[in-house]
Amino acid sequence: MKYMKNKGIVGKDIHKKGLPEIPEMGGVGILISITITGTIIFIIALIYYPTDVFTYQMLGFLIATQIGGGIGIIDDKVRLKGKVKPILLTLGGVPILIIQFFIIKICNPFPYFPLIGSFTIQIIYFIIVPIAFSVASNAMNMLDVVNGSMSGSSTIIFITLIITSIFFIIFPLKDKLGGSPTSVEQGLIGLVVAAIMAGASIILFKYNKYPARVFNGDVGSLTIGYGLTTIAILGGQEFIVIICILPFVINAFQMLSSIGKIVEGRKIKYRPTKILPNGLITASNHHKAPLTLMRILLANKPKSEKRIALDILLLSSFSCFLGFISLLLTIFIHII
Amino acid sequence: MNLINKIKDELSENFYLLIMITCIWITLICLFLFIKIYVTNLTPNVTIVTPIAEKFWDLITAAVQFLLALVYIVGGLYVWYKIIKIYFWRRMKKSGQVKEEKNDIIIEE
Repeated sequence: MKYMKNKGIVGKDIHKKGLPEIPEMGGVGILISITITGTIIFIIALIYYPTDVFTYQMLGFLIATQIGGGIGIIDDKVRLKGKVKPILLTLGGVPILIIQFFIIKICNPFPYFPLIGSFTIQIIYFIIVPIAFSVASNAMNMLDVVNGSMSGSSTIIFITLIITSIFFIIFPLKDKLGGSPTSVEQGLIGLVVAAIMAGASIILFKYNKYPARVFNGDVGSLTIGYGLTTIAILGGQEFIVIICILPFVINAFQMLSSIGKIVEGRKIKYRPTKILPNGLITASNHHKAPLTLMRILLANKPKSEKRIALDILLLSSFSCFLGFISLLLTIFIHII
Repeated sequence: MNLINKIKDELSENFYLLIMITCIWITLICLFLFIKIYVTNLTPNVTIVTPIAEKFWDLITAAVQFLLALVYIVGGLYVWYKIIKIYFWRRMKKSGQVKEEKNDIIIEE
C-alpha cells in the first residue's frame, strides 16, 4: 500500500467527505497470491499425476487468471475503451479451448440444471465459453461501487462454491449424456479453485471493507470474475454460479438496458447516485441516469456507504442460498 | 438480540428485492426447462444425407438453438428489467425523491 501511495497509484474515494486518496490496484495482491498457490498445486499435480485431467484444469485456470489479471492491470493503467475491454476479456476462454481441443478434455459441454438434468447446445457451448469470461468479469467490475461490496460478495460466493463443489464430489451425478470429465473431477477442480479464490478474497475484503484502506482496481474485479467463470466451466457449475452472482448480473443487465449501449463507467453522462451534504448517498432522480443496483437500493431513502455495502452483501448471501437450493434440486433430479 | 434486529431490519427493507431475485431465479429455471423441451429437441427435416451435409445441418441447428435460447433468456431478463424499473420509480415516489433537480447532472469527459 505504501509502495502504491509513493508511486502515485491512488484513487479518490468519491463517497467520503474530503475525497481521500486511497491506494488503488489492491487486486494485484490477490493475483500474486493466486499465482503462487496455483503454481504450487499445479507443480505437485504435474509430479504425481502428470496425465490426470486435474493437472490440465489447473493449468487452464492459472493461464486464464493471468490473462484476466493482465487485462485488469492494463485497464487500471491506461483505461481501455468501453467496447475494447469486453472483447479483450474473451481471451480468457482461449487457453481452456486450446487444452480442450488439442490436449485433453477439461470441460464437459453438458451443463447440469436443477429439476431438468443435463442437456447441451452442442458446439455452441464452446462459443459461449469466451463470452462467459467477458460477461462475468465485467459484471463483477460493474458492482465494485462501494467499499467492500465486490470483495465481500465474492468471499461469500466462493465459500458457497466450496460447499457446492464438495456436494459434487460426495454425490456424483449420473452423466446421462456421457462425456468427460465426470462430476467428481469437476467437483475436485471446483473445490481447489474456489478454496484458492476464497482465501484471496478474504484477504482482499479485510483491506477493502468500509472504510477501505485499498481499492481492488480492475485487476481485482476481473481476476475474481475470471476465477468464478473457471469454476462455472471447469467445475461444471454453470447454473449455480449464474444464480450466486445474480445481483451482479441484474446490476449489469439493468445498467446496459437503461443506457442502451456498452460504455466505459466514467463516461456515463448522468450519475446514478449523488452525495448529500450530510455524507449520505441518495439515488439520482434524473430519468436518464442508469438504473444500477445501488440506485435501486437507495430508492427507499438515502443511505450511508456502509449500509449500501451491507445491503449488497445481503443480496449476495441470499443469491448464494438460492444457488445452494439449485444444487440440491440438481442432485435431486439425478438421484430419482 | 441487537444483531437479530439488524438482520430483521435489513430483510424487511430489502424484502421486495429479495422476492424479485427469487422470482428471477424461478424464471430462469422455467426458461431452461422450456429450452430443454422446445429448443434443444429441434431437428431439421433433412433430405440430403452426406457426412458434410450432416455436419452443416448440425451447425445450423446448433446456431438456431443458441439464438432461440438467447432470445428467450434476454427476453425474460428484459421483462424483469421493466418490472424492477416500475418498482424503483414507485419507491422513489413513495419516499418523495422524484422531484428533478438540474444540478444532479455531472458530465465527465
